[in-house]
This record gives sequence, C-alpha cells and structure tokens, in this order.
Amino acid sequence: MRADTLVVTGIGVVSPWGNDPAKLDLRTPADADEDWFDVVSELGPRGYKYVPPGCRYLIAATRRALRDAGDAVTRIPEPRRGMAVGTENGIAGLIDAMDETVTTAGADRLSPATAPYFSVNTLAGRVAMEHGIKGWNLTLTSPRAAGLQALQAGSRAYAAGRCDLLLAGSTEAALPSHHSGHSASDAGAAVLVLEPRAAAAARGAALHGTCATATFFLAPLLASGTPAPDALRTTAEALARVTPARHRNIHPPVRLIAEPSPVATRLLSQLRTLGLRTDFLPAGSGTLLPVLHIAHGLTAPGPPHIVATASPDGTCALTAVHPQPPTDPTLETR
Amino acid sequence: MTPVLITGAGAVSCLGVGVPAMWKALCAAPEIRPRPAADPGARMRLPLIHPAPAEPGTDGRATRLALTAAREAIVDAGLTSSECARAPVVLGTGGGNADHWERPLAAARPAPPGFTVAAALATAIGSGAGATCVSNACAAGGFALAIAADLIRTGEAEVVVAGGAEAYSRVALACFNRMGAVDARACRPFHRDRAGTVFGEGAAVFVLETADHARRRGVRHAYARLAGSGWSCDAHHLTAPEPAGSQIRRAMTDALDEAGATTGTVGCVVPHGTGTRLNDVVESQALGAVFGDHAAHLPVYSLKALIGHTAGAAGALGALAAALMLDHGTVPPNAPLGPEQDPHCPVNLPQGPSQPLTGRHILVNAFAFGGNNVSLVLEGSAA
Repeated sequence: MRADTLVVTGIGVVSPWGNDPAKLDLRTPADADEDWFDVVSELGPRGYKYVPPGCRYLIAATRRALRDAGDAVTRIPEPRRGMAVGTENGIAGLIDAMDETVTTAGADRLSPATAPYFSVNTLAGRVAMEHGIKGWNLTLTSPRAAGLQALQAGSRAYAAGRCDLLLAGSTEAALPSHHSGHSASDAGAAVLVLEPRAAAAARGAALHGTCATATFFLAPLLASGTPAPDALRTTAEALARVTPARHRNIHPPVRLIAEPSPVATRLLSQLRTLGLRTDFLPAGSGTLLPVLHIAHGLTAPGPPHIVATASPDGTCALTAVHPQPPTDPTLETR
Repeated sequence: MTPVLITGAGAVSCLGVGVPAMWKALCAAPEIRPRPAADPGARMRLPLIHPAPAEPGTDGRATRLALTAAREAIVDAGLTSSECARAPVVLGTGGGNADHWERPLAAARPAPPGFTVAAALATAIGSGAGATCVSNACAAGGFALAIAADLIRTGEAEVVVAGGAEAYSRVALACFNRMGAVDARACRPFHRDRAGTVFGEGAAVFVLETADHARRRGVRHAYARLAGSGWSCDAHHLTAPEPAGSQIRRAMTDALDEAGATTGTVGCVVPHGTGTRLNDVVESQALGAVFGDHAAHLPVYSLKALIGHTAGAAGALGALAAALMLDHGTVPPNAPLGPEQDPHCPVNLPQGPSQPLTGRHILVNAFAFGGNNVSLVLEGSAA
C-alpha cells in the first residue's frame, strides 16, 4: 500500500452561490433551480441538450478543476486516471420525469437520447469519456455523505495503487418540484484534483492543501436515546484517523453540515464532548454542500479544520481539511 | 498481501432464499422463464423480470432483499454483535430502492433518498463502522466487494459485510425497452439469436475478513479467498462497450495479477455475459485475448442464463457462484443453450452433468453502463 500524501492541486465549482470557490458564501440560502447555470458559457453552444443537469454540472466543475490544476491530467496515462463521485439526487428529477412518461404515454415515448441516464453512474461516465479517465470510475450514493465518501474511496483506491491521479467530488440536481425537499435541494457540482505530493512538486504545481476522510455509522435508533457507549469511541477513532498526530492537541474547529435529526444531534453532542468547537450548519438535500465547504476551505491559507456531515439514516463522515500554509518551504502556494 | 477470506454468505434470487437453495438450483440448471412484472404502471412492450421473494415490510424492496441475504451471511459466518459493530457495510446497488422513487408517489413517504440500502443493513446488524452505497450500475456489486477487500488490505477494517442488491425498477426496465435491449424470450448469453437481456431481482451478501481475524474467532470454514480485483473504465460510450475490449482486458489481467494467478490456474470464468448483442461478442473476444489457447477449454459458467441480469447484484451473485464452485470443487452445468451458440462468441459453455473444477482460481466479470468494469479473482481457501 502507498503511504504518500495526496495533495489538492485543482478545484472546480459550479453552484448557485457562484463558481469561484474562494467567494462562496455558503451560509446564505441559495436557489437550487437551474436558472443560475449558464449552459452555453460553461459547456458550449451544442451537444448538451439531452444531458441532464446533474451531468452538466459535473462536466463544468471537472473542466474548471482541471484548468485550475494546470497540466496534471495530460501528464498521466489514461489507464492511471481515477474518478470518484458522490451523488444522491443527481438523476432524481430525470427519473421522476421518465416515470411520468412511462406510466402515462408509455416507454416508447421516452427519449432515446436521455434513456441511458436512468443509471446514475452515467453522470461520471460522461465525464470519463471527455477526459480519458480509464483507470476507474466510482459512483457513491450514500445519502448526504457520498461526496465525502468519494474523497475517501478515491484516496483508498490511490493507496491501493489503482491510479496516479484522482478526481473526486459531488454533483447534485434539484429534486422534482412536487417533492417536499425541492426548496432545500442541493444543486451544482464540486470537483477536486488530487495527486501525489512528489508528482505535484516535480511539475511545479501550486497546492491548495490536503484532506483526509473517515466515515462511521450512528444507528438512528441508538441516536434517539438508547445509550451507546461505543459510539463516542467510534467518533473519536474516526477523528484520530483523519488528524495527524502532530495536530492532536490543536482541536481543529468543526463545521457539521446536516439537516436536523437525532443522528446529527448525537454527533454534535459527541464532537463537543470530545472538546471540539463545532458549528452546526443546515444541510441541503444531497451530498454537495459538505464538498463545497471543503472546496471553499482549501482556497485560502488557514488552520486545519474539519467538515462533517450526518445523514438521518446514520451515515456519518468527517473530512479534515488542511489548507496549504503560505510559507511552505518546498512549494509555491496560491 | 493480506488474504481476504469469505467466511459467510447469503443470497436471494429467483432461485429462492438461501445459499443452499442457490447451489441446488445451479446444479439442477432448470429452464426458468421470466414473467411479466406485477406492475400495472409498466407500460412497455416487454415488462419481463425474474422476481425474487422479498420479505414483507415497509423498507424499500432492494433493502428487503439485501437484509434477507445479510442476515443469512451473518449467521453463516457466526459473527457476534461486537464483531458486527466493527464491520463496515459496503453495498452495491444500481437503482437502490426504486419503489421509493417511482409511482405511485406516496405523500407520506420521504421519497428520495432511495440509496439507503447500505445504511439499512448497517442499522440491522448493529454496525458502527460505516455504510457505503456503491452505484456503478451493473458492476456495483463487484465494485462493492473490491472496495471491501481494499478496506481490509489498507488496514481500515478486519471484517466487512459487503455485497449487492437489486430490485425491480420500472424506469430501468422501460429504458431498456426503449433502447431495444430486452429479449422477448429469456436472458440468453452467447446464444446466436439473443436479442437483449432480461432483468432479475436478487441480492448476495458476504462476510469478508482477514485470516487472522477468522482464526482468532475460531472460524472453521471459508468458502474462498477474494484474492484480487481489477478496475477499469472504457471512457468510450455511455451504454456500448468499447469494441476492442481493451479496458475489460485490463480489468481481467489486473485482477489476475493482484491475485497472483496465471491463466493456467484459472478453472472457470463467470462472465458478465448479459445477452446483449455486442457485449457478449466483445467479452468473448477479450477472454480469448487474455486466456489464449487455454480459452477454448476453459469452462465459462453463465449465471445470467439462469437468474437473469441482476444488475447491481450481478457481480456479487457471480462471486457467490464462484465461491460455491471453489467450495464444492465443482462446475455446475450451464442452463441449456442447445447447439445454437453464436459462432462469434467462441467460449466453452459446458452443458450436461457437473464437472470437476480444475484450477484453484475463478474469474468473475461485472461490466456496466458508463463503461465501468470490475473483475474479481477468487481462490480456493484450501489453496
């Protein structure tokens, strides 16, 4: 297994809060409806009519991330490029519209151009086609946590020797308008480019920092009241996995991004019990918002911090974000 | 490399509930015809499916299938509650609980998220170690097992509960109808007249663990080792395979290399083989390229001809078939194909009586929309 560190050398974002990761004001509400996304300026005038929004966002964010990373992707042979994407509702609107068609007019009235996108992994598959990502392509769909899990699973695949360049992130599209969660929908995409520190140094790349993710599970039944003495230890172990020993006494601040639920309440309580100053920020319906916080957090030098999320069904994830210090002795910083 | 043992297994499919029922049916190789889906909303020409017996309940159908398989696997492995608490869950599913996404839309139901299958398993078994839902379409179950093995090999876990589950999805079947990819008769991989696939429901879940962990808790039986995996992506087309098959060849050779296997030590292949025209030809040619002269005699066991294409569960059910073959030392007969094998698919599909397994490895392929490919190599636990 490889033990070297992956560093973030590219960030790409498209979101209702804007497309500059340094200027995202994520604490203010944003409208998920598609008006904020300019297809022509982001993707070009032709070729995307039948591409669903969740895929358009991912294509645009990936292009931005790769531009930001310079020549990272072209230096790596196609079979050594990997991509991991988290999404929960990336095709929810499309599925809903297709189902409406099937149950009324029938399957013959489905568009053959959009039919392949019933499969959620085609969002990342479309991006792989554009950038020759032939190493592998993972789509993770765990509610709320899949964006952070994409960082984790991608980094693990790198450690197992399955790629030399990793793209990881999240994409989401607005839920159907009749859905109760529509107004809180996540929409947009965020993609990070990660590569080994030595490779980034060799090509003189500018660094954004590093991130490390751990996941764990707090069962909803336990979260709502049953004592769970091991749960605190589980959370503490997850924190230890993402925090280098030299930072153990720093107690990095935590942003817990979650919708109110017994699981989120318990995680918040545990983090505070463990001595971590934790802000609770409301989440949207999807996997994107925590990844946007990571992208934003990597754009400016600053102390290490942790982005956390918790799904009402129990899946929890923590990502320790280490923005690149401004005085790195070996590499130029942004 | 850390050995990863398969010490527990559970399954449900159109063959019934349980691993013994599955092995019995594999050996009998009955002809099973698909049925029209019990869905009045299925307005499509060929609403065919191989349904699996789902336990009653309010969870989504994929979750209920996965729970059936997971409970069997946990009991089979003899995992205690404290061992389950330390076992991450990794579950592959293409469409998740489609019945929670699709009509009728119940106002009281919190429609999406539909991908709660892994979390439901984690809750059921009392895991505190994580729940990951993998949705690489028809390769999801294979990728879930490969990720589980990597979790063990990177030292993140000593024991993992992993597999795949898929239930009927009206939209998925409608899209396959629209794309002309459903066979009106049956799922007939490598048949001259195949005209597409036929979906099946099902789930297979495994307990995977390190040899040390198994030894410490007194495990006496392992089905097999999950010895290696190879991952690739065609990056060619959303639905069609790359005609040259270069990336599926790489997935197979990488899996063999990781397992320390050679083409000569492989005693059987469980192919992806869906019954769609181009996929079966490309995979046949890729097998020929990887195995060379050995390919002509290498038994290929076509599970989908028996249970249909179980999509996100297919890789896991294929791995279970391989594990059972290694455990029994037997390659069961393929479902009857007759003399009508496609000459463009020159793979060896033994029919008639079961035959002894020669070779200590079995290769399992799972390929998918989006060009996602994963190959697994299982090794006999006595090897």
